[in-house]
Amino acid sequence: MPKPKKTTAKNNAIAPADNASPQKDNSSAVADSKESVVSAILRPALSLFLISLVVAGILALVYNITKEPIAQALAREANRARQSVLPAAVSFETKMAPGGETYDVAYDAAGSVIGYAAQTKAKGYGGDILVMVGLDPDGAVLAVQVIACSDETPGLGQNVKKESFLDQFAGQRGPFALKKAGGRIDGVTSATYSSAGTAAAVNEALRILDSVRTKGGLPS
Amino acid sequence: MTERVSYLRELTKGFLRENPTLRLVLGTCPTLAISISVTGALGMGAAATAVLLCSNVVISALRSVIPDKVRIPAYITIIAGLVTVVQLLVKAFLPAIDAALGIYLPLITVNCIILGRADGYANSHNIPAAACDALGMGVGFTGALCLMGAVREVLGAGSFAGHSLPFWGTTVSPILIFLLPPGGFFVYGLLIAVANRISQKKGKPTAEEAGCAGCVCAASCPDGKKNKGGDTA
Amino acid sequence: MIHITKELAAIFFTAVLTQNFVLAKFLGICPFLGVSKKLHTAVGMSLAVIFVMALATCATYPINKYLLETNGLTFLQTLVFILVIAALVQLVEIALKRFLKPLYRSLGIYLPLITTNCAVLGVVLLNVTRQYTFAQAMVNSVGGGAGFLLAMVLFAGVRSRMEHDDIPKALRGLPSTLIAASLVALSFLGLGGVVEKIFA
Repeated sequence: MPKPKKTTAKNNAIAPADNASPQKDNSSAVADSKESVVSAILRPALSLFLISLVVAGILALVYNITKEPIAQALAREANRARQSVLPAAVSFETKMAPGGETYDVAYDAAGSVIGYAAQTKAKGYGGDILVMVGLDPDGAVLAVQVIACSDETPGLGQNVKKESFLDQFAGQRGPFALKKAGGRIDGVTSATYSSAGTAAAVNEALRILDSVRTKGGLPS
Repeated sequence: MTERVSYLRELTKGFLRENPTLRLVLGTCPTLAISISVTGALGMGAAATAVLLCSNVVISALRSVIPDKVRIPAYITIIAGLVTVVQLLVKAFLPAIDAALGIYLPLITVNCIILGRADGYANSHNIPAAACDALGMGVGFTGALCLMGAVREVLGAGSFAGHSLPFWGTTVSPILIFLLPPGGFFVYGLLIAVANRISQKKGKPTAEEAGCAGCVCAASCPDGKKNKGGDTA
Repeated sequence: MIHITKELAAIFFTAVLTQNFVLAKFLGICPFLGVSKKLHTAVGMSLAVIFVMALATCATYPINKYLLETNGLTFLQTLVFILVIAALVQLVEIALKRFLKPLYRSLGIYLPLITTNCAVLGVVLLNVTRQYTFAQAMVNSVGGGAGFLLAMVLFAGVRSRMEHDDIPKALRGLPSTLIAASLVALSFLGLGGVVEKIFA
């Protein structure tokens, strides 16, 4: 059972000096010992427990309400990325590549295959760069989109999102490498690692999609 | 009548006089990290204001119920819960903002403005006053964040809220360093200097003198003047 | 084995140098500005941060993996993490006070400041969003703390030299401190690519 004086000092250590509330506890210590055990330990513990319980309950409620919209938002985002690299596609079908990676097959209105899309990642400067690559049935790149590169430096590495960089991939066949490494891609100025990471992620997508494309794994 | 006047005062003090970012120097982490664009700054400001308003109201309402000894953990629980609610709502309805804020959205939990207002204001004032205080502080935080975002985005990227500006990028190239971390510290330093200059002219204390006092940890801060030793609540 | 070591080393040095917690990710700015006036307080604070970061990762990783994720309770992450950190800081303080008096005397005063240090909650959340394994998470936490220590020590050195400088009145205090921080951050930009070159 803490003495009232100590309690006040304890509270002050973390609270701003102008806080008047530590006075509240003093009355409890004068009461008999049983009551002060209740007020010193049980009451704070119980109220903290109750607050946590209520907060957790509210969170569960909000979570259940927002679950559906969050799933929809994620699906919309995934669809938007696929659609942006395969603009002519009317519908998509998600499939599993032999290596366990997922990819999408794109169909036109008549139901014939017009291309493939895969999402891959590779190490950039600060973290992973996530890209979506669209391929035509012959294996040439249709378009590349950077989905996430939040660990890259804003204004430098994050410029790999720019069209001027990503358009270099369109219509080309891989594998890709930066000009510095003997390839044909112009890296983003002062962002060699982010540029090389993006190219590596595109190459990875080509590897996945080529394995399903050349295997004749065309779904019918 | 006097009541109304004082509520107005509680509301407006956060705008300039006690601006949390430029005068009290609280919540510096999101200020520096998010202020690379006006849009991100606005999103962070709005999210933090929502959390601050709710936490101030809830804590003010519960001020006689929460035992003093466990008030800090209780406040942290309430704030963390509110932050998660905001995070879920943003994820569901404004996914672009969620992507822009990244981990700085859940980190609103440890934004000292919110815990500071809870312990320094909400727990000793009634609900309307606490709400006014929260709104004023939130608006002040958002304003300062947007100002910094505007300076950094215009100078560093040559755009404003994502729209490119005339001349920048063609006639004059943007000054990239303003977007990078050093530019963040630099712009923040200059803005505080301007705020200091203005308040010095009016004979008020500078940011640092007014500073630390607003922080929950002020009393146990080894550099603070009122060090009460290591014993904590 | 070599591959794993290399990967862990890359995570460590990325957290210390190129993605320094303070100077690139802006986590833990309050102590960085507030407690860096003198070298010994800067070191004490940093050691306490490294200690709590490692402990917090140790504690939250299994909780997240075996309690929250398996039961679909990931929406409680922020709440659970911050409470675990707050409880840990309290426990560490009590334990140090009772069993390791000398260590308590040097680190104790910094502990209460750490609960609201966003670097600690930040590292725990980063470990989750990056889906690190336990080893990677631990290395990232210790690396993040070490990066904090490096930034604090360097900055304390810079500040001790600024103390007697004649600075324009409006820039005295915080503004000049922030501009000095800006220059320290600038020097860290020069480390770009170092980690990739060595460990790639």
